[in-house]
Amino acid sequence: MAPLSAQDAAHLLRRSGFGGGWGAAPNDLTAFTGMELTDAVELVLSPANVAADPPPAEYADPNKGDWERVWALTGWWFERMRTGRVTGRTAGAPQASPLQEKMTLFWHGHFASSEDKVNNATHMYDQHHAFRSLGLGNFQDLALAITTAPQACEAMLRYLDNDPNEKENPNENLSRELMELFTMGVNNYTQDDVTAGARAWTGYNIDDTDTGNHTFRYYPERHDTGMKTLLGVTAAWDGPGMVRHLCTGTTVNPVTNEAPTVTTSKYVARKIWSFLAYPIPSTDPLVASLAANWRTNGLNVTALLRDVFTRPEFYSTTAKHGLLRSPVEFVVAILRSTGLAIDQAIPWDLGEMGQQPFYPPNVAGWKQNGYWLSTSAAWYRANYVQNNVRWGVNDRPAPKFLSWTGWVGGTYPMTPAQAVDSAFATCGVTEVSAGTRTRVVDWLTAQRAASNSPAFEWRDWQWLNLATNVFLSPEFQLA
Amino acid sequence: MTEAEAALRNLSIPAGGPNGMSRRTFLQALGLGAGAMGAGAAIGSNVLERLEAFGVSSTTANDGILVLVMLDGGNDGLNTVIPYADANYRTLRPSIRYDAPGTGANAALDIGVAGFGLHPSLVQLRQRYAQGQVAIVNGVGYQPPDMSHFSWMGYWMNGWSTAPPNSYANGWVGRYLDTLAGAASDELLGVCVGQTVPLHMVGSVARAAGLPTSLSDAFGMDRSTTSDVRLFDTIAGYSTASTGLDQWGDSYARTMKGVLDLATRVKPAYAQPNDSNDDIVRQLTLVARLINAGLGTRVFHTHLGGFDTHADQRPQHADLMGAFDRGIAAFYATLQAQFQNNVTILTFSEFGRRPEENQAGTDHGTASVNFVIGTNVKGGMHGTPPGLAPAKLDRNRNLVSTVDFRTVYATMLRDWLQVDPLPILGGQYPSMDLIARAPNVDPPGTSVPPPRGATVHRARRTRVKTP
Repeated sequence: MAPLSAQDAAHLLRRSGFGGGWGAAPNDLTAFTGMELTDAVELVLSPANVAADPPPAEYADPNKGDWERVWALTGWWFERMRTGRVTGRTAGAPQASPLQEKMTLFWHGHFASSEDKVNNATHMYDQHHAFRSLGLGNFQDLALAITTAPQACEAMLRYLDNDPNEKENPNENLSRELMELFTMGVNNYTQDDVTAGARAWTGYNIDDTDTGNHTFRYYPERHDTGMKTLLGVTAAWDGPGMVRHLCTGTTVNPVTNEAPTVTTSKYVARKIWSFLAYPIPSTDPLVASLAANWRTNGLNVTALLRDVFTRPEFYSTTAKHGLLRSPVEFVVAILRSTGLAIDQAIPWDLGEMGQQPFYPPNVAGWKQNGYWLSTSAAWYRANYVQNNVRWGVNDRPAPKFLSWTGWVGGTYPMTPAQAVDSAFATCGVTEVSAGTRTRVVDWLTAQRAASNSPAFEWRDWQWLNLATNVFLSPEFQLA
Repeated sequence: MTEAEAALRNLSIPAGGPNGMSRRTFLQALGLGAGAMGAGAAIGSNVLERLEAFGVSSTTANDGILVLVMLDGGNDGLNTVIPYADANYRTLRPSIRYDAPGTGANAALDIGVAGFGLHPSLVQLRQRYAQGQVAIVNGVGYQPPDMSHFSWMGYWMNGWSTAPPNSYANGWVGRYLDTLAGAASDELLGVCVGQTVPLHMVGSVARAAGLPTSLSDAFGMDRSTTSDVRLFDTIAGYSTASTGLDQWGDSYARTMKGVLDLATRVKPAYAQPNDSNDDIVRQLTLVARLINAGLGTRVFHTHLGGFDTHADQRPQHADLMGAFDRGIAAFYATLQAQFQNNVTILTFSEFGRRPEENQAGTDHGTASVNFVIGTNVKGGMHGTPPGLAPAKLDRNRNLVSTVDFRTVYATMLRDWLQVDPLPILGGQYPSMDLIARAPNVDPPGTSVPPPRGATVHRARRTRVKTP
């Protein structure tokens, strides 16, 4: 394929991470522009010299409450998303991999558990760590870890009530959502399969005697060892066996007339494509194609991502206009644009924007696009910009934000058009529509005309208003 | 049904829905057609300004207002309206059942109906029931059941008679709002309290506003300086022409225009603090304040989550019932007297729970109960409680519903909101006898409510044909 244009490089960096055009050159965008696509994609996929993820000190503080510990994790995760980069990572001062953080966000919405019910910051971190450390590897390994690995599965077992699941009283919650939301998708199984799965999961509980850590424990005496018929296969199913069958099972499921591995690979591949490129229905030919390649590659997630990032459809206008930034992506983009750290622009109202990390709304996780577009959620995006950019940024500690010298490199004075172009470029927007540009230039011209000073100084507050305009423009909302 | 459809069904504005509709569709829906489109942005701008004039921002005195309370996760109907005398109930629920009124800590509340009582947390609701202001609809559900939260909530939200015609592109309240004047331009005809606009609040042209429970120093509210107004108007102005960014760029632009329009309209409802510990109390307090402010909203959506009580049900469900009870009480404590006879509250949940407990919790079930609350409802027990005898249960040992949920919707539409339910639900459903009096008709034996506040401007709404 041809070398990457600046537009395509920016698109790849935004979707595989959180954007690459920020910071002084050489940055990821300058490094990627003109690179062969396959080379660029290999760089994105490379985990070399990635920072480890020891949790922050506040998380480990025994005097902190659970909510505070999770809030500390939230800020720490934002810093990883804010500072991660593809190029320029060194062994001495490693940075996070943007793709790894992006896929951690994806898996958090896929295998969704909420602190609201789990009520245990340690469990939430352990699950989060599993998303990061296993999220680019084998899908079956990840699914097994999230449901059955000590210090990874506790959050899900608690969230989906497998803690009290015993053979005398099977509990259907995990069994159902495992099939409906984590692997095959709804309508590909029957209530009898849910019941059989519930029995398979009996005995996978939390250790009763471990009142401090509440770690996973398998109780053989609570497990129903009897035969169960799951998706047409009669066996002495247990929990991990069910996960393996859903991920890689090849016996045709009578409900779907296809093997569970086919159903699951299509369901998950469609979801990943929709998360990274643009939403597609299950009937889109891309789904079967991506899934078939993914199965050939043994459900290795990195292989699927390579397939996604090298498809022509990924660089189509449909893709470039196909996704709105989620609230987390929106906040990270503002942080990266401004150079503000998370504690200089704390997003207190992520929940009101519609996406509080570690608190997904339900087991189905977050949705996309229109899900973010209620007036209440959009209002809180605007409030975030107003509170953290438009007002008060100059009261914050260094780095001082958007002083015109720091921001645009010292040409003074500028015309309004020059200032607007500079502002969009600095904030990572590579394509500005004529309509938006005209509107913002007209606004700045009017501001200038109304100014008391005939020379119209580029004072900080004008820059802050200009940045507010950029952050609330339609262009900046696109992922 | 595809996963894509499944993903769209719940708590999300669907692709192609009103926020996502193309400008062409938007204008065509208004009967303005492609001719108006061809003239480009300038005409489009005028069209939008004209639409603003349609937005009659008040209800008339005789308009009914419907407040929905969504009990998310599957509310256990059997432990909400409790058949305490049923031997099967007692056998199926050894550890989470409630007993006859007056028999101790786990006793149901007496409502004067033989064999049935209310959950003990519903203390204030029971008083309201005794005043004839609570209708209980038993046995409400949908056939055939499939027990997925997301499928069933999708059915409830969509509310169409058959398999949805448009892949769940809209919902029953949205299709009702479509019939009102100003449907395309007045976002406050429907209000969702919370971060998302659920499917049932989305119509073909109508789009409900989302409002948070509190706002202070919110973007766009202070228009005292020309510099601020210039900024707000610039951002609102993105909606006057295509953004060139396709569906989601245009949808965002319209949403931000909505925010900036709302900023000037909803301010009175946020003047006082709203800081209860119970989110549902804050939500219903805001709803009452929005009604008091006379903004013309016909349907409100509120949301209480956490009903998916697979385990440890008794304390969790008791907390939720208590929060619900406090929410209803706070609503009526806040609602001004002159609006009391204009409001009906309807609860709904995607399904009930399994009659047989799984030790201390319950798995997904089928039929449940709805509450219909208001001064003008016909209080008492309605519908038919499904039997709990083994032969009465379905093959999954779940309840067999006796009332189709769309019958309840049809009743609300026909008898309370006073529209023909047929085009909204796509099928004929009879009314249940849930509404005693039309909106704003005083209950017999009560004094005439005080006159409405003189500061609230009221204009008679003109109905337009459904596009």
